[in-house]
Amino acid sequence: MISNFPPLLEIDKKIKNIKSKSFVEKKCYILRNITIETIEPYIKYLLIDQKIKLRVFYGNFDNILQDSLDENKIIKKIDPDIIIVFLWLPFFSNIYDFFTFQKSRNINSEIKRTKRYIKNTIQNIRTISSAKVIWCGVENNNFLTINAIDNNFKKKVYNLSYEINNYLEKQLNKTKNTYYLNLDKCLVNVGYNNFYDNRNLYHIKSPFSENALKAISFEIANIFRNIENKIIKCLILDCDNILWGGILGEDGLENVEIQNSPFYIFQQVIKKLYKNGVILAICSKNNKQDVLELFTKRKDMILQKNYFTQMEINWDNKAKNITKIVECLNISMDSVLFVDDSEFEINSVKAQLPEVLTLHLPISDKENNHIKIINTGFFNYNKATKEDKNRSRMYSEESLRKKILKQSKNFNDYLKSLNMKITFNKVNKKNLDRIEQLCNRTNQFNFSAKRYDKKKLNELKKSQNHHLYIANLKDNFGDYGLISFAIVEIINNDSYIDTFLMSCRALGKKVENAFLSFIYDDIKSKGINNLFSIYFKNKKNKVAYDFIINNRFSLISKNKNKYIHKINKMNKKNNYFKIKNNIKN
Amino acid sequence: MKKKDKTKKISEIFCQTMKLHKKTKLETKSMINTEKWDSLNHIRLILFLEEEFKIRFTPNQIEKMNSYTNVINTIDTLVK
Repeated sequence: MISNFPPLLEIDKKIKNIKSKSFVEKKCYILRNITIETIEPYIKYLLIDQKIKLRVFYGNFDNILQDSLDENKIIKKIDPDIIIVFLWLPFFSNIYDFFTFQKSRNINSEIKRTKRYIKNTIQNIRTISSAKVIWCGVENNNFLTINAIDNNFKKKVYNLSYEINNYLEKQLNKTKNTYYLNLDKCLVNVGYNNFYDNRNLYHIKSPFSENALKAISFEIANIFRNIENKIIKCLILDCDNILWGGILGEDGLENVEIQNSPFYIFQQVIKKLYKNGVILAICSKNNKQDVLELFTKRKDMILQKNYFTQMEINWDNKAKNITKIVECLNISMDSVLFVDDSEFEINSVKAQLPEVLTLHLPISDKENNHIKIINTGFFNYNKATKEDKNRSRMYSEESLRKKILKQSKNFNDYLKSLNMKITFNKVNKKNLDRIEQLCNRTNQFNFSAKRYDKKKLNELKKSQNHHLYIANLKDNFGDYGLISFAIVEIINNDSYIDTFLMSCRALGKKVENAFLSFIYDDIKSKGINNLFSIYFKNKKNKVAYDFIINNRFSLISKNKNKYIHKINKMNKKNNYFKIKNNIKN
Repeated sequence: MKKKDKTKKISEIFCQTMKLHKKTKLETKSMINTEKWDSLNHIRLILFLEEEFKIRFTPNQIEKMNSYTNVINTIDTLVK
């Protein structure tokens, strides 16, 4: 990962060449008690991938708490999207410096002071800004001993970094929109001898080496991926020399390496990802029969056949197969990671599908495959909701449905055979997490693409002029969970659909029609005149516009990318659903 | 590495870190008469040079590299 960085000169040029049109600009404010300016090019470089252009501002040196106070109005003036805090403890108090001798009384009072400092800073930031906060933890650098006597003392100091880290994590967990950056992870990745650059420690107060900065910026970029919800939903794997060692067609079923080989651990890692909600798919050039036989006959396979939602095993072009998988799962291209051992396949997919993320695991370094896939950082979820964990199960059900569709005479018969049940519910504490997630992740069927957080949703819930609707869906094959959400705003006895979105896995079943029809009736029953939809056009939400056109809503006004349509009474001929209404007036 | 290539690379890095025009006469530049040459940009310059030439300066050398000619001379002793 660290070796992935080009030389600084090139990084500098790349950052200068960012064309701001396709990039989102974000402001970042760094609070610090060390000189950390040298990290800037690395973070900026890594964020190019995520189409983010970062503007960085620095707080005053060693003024973390002061800068977080409202009096200075710095934070309000800058209005950052992200605040990063670097509190390096050896500069904060000398008890964290292993090389100084301490009295234990002194240690206790200093720990208290540190905790107070951390708590107050977090609280201050939260009261004046809604920016996301990334707090860089404490690295455990106290395992150096001068001699055997130190061992006794070492324990105490050793525990210090743990204690502060635990406290910090607890405080951050309590506070919304905060992220903990594990500095120990960076230290382990880089190694102690490469982590510090003591030449710069005294005159410019910059403890970290170039390699350490690279590792830290890598972690920060991963947290950004989390913040921006650009996570990987589906992992598409090759078979030969990825899932097992050797080539199935040549070596034969009995001779491919699984147990007692690096591929065994790799499979274990993949299984863990699957259990955490990553959808698995296979895209391999092989004979399908051979692969299926291997799944049943080799008892040492950790990954079972039913873990894979989609299997494209044939001799076709891989880019074509990936497109098939992505279309079948109804997800977007940029939420997919393709893994292969052949550089040729990786490059050919990169050329044909530039949005798809790829990972090359060459056979020459097979021992490190499992580490490499973890180190991509793509699967580093901050929070997994119930829906996340069930996701792969839901997508497997979806492919069963598609099989039934092929057998049905026509689409309407198919919809009837599913026995769908829609439940309309009120927004409450339990489903707020999921709604926030839907608001932030749904791109395709989303009228306005407005992103709401929990706080804002709670305000809307209480507001007299807003009505919030949610829908759950179930059918013969399983439970989709909460799939759709709408906000209707009432202005002067007219109502406007501020938000109307639906999870892509429920699309195409006419649920959206039933839901809108329900909202229409509900609004009318409140004695409100008209219902208008507000649609903001962007790159991804054409599906929503198609829905408007298909239902022949009448266009009222169009201004740049903002379209307002009047919604007429919906066609009610849907016998596909059983509807349960839990919203009482 | 040829001396000419070396000087060219150093001047490129120097201009980029100190935000100078490519055609600026660098021979007379020093920490005193170069506006952007503060302690932070000095560290940046060191990072760039260390990475480019795969060398590592001692703290003593870092301190002495306070003018463009001194930078060239120091690198000359390290990169043959």
